[in-house]
Amino acid sequence: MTIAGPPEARPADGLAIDFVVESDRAQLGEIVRRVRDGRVRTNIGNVATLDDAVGAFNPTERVTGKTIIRVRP
Amino acid sequence: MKAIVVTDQAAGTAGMTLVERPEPEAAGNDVLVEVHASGFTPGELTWPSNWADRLGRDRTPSIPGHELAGVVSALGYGTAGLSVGQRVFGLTDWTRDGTLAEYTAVEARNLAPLPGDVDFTVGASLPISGLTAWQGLFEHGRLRAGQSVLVHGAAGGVGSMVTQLAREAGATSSAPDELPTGRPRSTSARRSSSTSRTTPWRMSAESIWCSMSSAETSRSGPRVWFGPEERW
Repeated sequence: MTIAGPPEARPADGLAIDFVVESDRAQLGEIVRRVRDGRVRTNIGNVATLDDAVGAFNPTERVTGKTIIRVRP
Repeated sequence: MKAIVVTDQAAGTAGMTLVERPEPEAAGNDVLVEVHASGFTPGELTWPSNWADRLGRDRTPSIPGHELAGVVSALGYGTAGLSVGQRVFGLTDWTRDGTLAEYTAVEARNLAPLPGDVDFTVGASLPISGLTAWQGLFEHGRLRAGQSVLVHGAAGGVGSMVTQLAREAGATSSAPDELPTGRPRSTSARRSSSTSRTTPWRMSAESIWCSMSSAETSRSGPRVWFGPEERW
């Protein structure tokens, strides 16, 4: 996901937009508001500690959902 | 402090090591954040920003991970808008040391307040997928109610966020049966996809292609198009 560079080919009758995602306080606020009221859900697949992070990012089996490192308990 | 670092681009995630690093200091307009939860996308290890700063200087060993949720522990000179002790989340600068660490220094403008009832792990999972979907749909795609959005990788991080935000905005989202690469969609993606429908790929005028992968081929579809990665 994100920022992999421009597409190798462009659509013949369309517009290709290549963009780098940037942080934006107002947009983050809109997103978290939707999470609080249930309009948007996130899919966390695995939560690991910082001590176990290297293993969590090199899984031996496919993990569905996002891996999050819980740095402080 | 404890931190994950990488030094060898060719090694990928296998090159990650847990080390002891000095705590960063908050520069002007920065805050120092006590990291509670961190998110990382494997793609960032292939991006030049992970290995060199904006002047092209080697910045290894670098700390990857650029999503975070945590608590502000110090303010840099001139920093406004956030206070010590405040819960925050956000996306940090790609060319600076990141969030797989106990502390990270971040420009205050890159952070937003994290409400007290939203868990740190949830906060750290939102910035890349949420902001990419938001900016693709509304800033670059100029999405309006009634339009259609074709979402490849609808079960992935960005794709699922695109689907949810597009639906709420009054647009119809669909996931194609086959990727433009000719690769059929995985059954897990089909099962967990929350798109309104699946549809064969169709040509239409005025399509906007929001590129998120270099693996795409030249096809055009509905007005807003999201790339095919299903990776989290």
